Amino acid sequence: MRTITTDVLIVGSGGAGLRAAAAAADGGAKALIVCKGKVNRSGSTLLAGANVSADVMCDGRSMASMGIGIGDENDSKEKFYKDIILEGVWLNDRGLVKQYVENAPTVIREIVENNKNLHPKGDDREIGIPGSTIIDTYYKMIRERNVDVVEDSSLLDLLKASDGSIAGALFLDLIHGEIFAVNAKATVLATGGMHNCYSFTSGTTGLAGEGQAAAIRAGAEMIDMEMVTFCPGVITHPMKWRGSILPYIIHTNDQFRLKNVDGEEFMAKHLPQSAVDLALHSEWNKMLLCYAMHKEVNQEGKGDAYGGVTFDLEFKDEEDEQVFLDHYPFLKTGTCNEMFRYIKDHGGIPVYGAAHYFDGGIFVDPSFATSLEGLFAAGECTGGTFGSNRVSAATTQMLVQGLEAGKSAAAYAAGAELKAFCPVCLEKAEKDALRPFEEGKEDPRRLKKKINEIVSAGAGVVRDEKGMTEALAALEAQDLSAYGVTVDTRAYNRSWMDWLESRSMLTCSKAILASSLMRKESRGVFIRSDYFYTDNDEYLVSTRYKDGRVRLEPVDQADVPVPAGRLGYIENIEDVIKRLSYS
Amino acid sequence: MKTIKVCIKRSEGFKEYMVETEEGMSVMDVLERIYDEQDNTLAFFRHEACHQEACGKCLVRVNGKVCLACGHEAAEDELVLEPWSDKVVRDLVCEQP
Repeated sequence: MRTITTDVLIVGSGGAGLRAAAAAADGGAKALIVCKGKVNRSGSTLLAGANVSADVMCDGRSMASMGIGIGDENDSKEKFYKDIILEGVWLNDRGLVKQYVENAPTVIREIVENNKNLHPKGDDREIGIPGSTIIDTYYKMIRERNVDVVEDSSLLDLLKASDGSIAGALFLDLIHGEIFAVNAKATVLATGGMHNCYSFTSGTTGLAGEGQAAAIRAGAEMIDMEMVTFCPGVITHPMKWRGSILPYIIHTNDQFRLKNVDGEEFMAKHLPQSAVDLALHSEWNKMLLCYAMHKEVNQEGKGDAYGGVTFDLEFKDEEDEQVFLDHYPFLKTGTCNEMFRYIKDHGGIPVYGAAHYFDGGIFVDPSFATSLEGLFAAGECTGGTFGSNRVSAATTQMLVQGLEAGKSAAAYAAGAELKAFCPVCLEKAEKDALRPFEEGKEDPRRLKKKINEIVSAGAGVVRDEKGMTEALAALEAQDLSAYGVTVDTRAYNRSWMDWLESRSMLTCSKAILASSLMRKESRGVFIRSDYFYTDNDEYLVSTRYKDGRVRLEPVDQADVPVPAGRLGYIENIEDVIKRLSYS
Repeated sequence: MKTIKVCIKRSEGFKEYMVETEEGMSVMDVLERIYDEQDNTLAFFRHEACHQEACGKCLVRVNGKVCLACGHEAAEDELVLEPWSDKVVRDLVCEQP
């Protein structure tokens, strides 16, 4: 088998992977990126902010020092830190939040200094720029550092040395169908979210949770896998725009309306007025809007033909519309303009809540080491930073974590030897990847759809004991060996890819459901109809999933005051928002 | 709703499909529908696609012109889909530039 050797292997080429590779090279390591798509045009980062306006955040005082006319001198890192913990409803890993807050100004400065013509709009704590601008910034950085790249290759499995440490990984070149190995002193996973577990998502097509699944198979510890953020303003129709979050990007204004199939607004039916105000006018809207939409569609039965609701814009007059367009200038041209005109011409556009961001993932410490020797992870594939709810920017997360993970991996590699793969592991990983050529006959595409249906029903916006128990049992009942390739060639074999993605999706989905069942409360993005309250006596804990079992780990609460007892889910959100520095 | 004729240049030669389409479907959506409902041996770029004309990887020749499969609306009554370059790997998938 073809084997490439390197000091540091980075899997994934979104913001986390690119930043990690540059940091590893700066740390003196020979770095290699292997990515599923094109190195500078794949992964979640590209679609951040609908590739028109992705928020990148740091504290307002540091932002004010950038010289771009945005920021807030009265803000501080301490305030930003406390706000992130309140936003996460006290579940955040404090070490990861500290690392985020401390390093956020560094990465924003990198973006500003590398894009002299960029005149970002923003707020006290954020700038809004296209996802592609972020990628371009860090792609330039890895080219300057001569980082090696292998594209269009999917992670099959992590590979261990005989002492149990991670010695690299096995990949499939998706275009030509060749299986190859990378032997590395240190490995960084930066593989993004597990979007493909769900039927409706805002991600690119390749986000199947391969990094998380490979980590789980290798015995890594996972954290807060039950926490999934849904984005409320994602287009369901027309088909060519399905998955675009543009409506969400332009929703923070007075002109926006959400209507049911009968053209009625419905927020007030499902939320108290104060929560409606929060949902419409704060960054806390994702779970509140998704909750109201879920109730309207599933409880009231007022969903449209595409299973969702209508996003509409209502302007008082032409001037009102002009002011709106000036606020969102990207709506004046290209596809965004087509979408804007569609909304105006059709009385709105169909939207619903889509699986959007995974708050949980691989457990890491503040050096971004995982629980497995030689393995590091950064960005969305990790968990813990945002506790039960991410309000602050995931773009900042991927960059600060990539930076640190790359540094740590380079330092680790400097003191390590290249270890040979355990021959049994290598043989097993290759044999497993080739199973669909030997085993079942059914099209694995059907399995993907089954998993999507099970997970969307059992681990959606609102969950309950019965639904989750049934979903987990249904996942356990799925048999990969019944499925196989639909064509015998190895070159660009979609059914082989579908089988491999199904394998990752099954592994991740089981972890999501098993972790969900352990949390008998509602908190942040995690909402249960049978435990519709936040329980600070029993559940100031993170879930830890390992080898198919879940344990609860108390989250240290020394720094930000937390009230004792139980409070209704909505009342708790209102209470938390009152504690924020910016409310 | 209308039914359109889609001729695809496969590795072994042209193959014809009749596909039911609706307004607002892209060429990528049409290919997906063919794969889903008629022919699960077809190869076209899909493994890490953005669907939003941002990644630029789903190049295909549509009625003679090279464009992005996700960005071209399937409004024609007849579509001829061919590989965008002569370095074909399989069906519509070419060596990546």
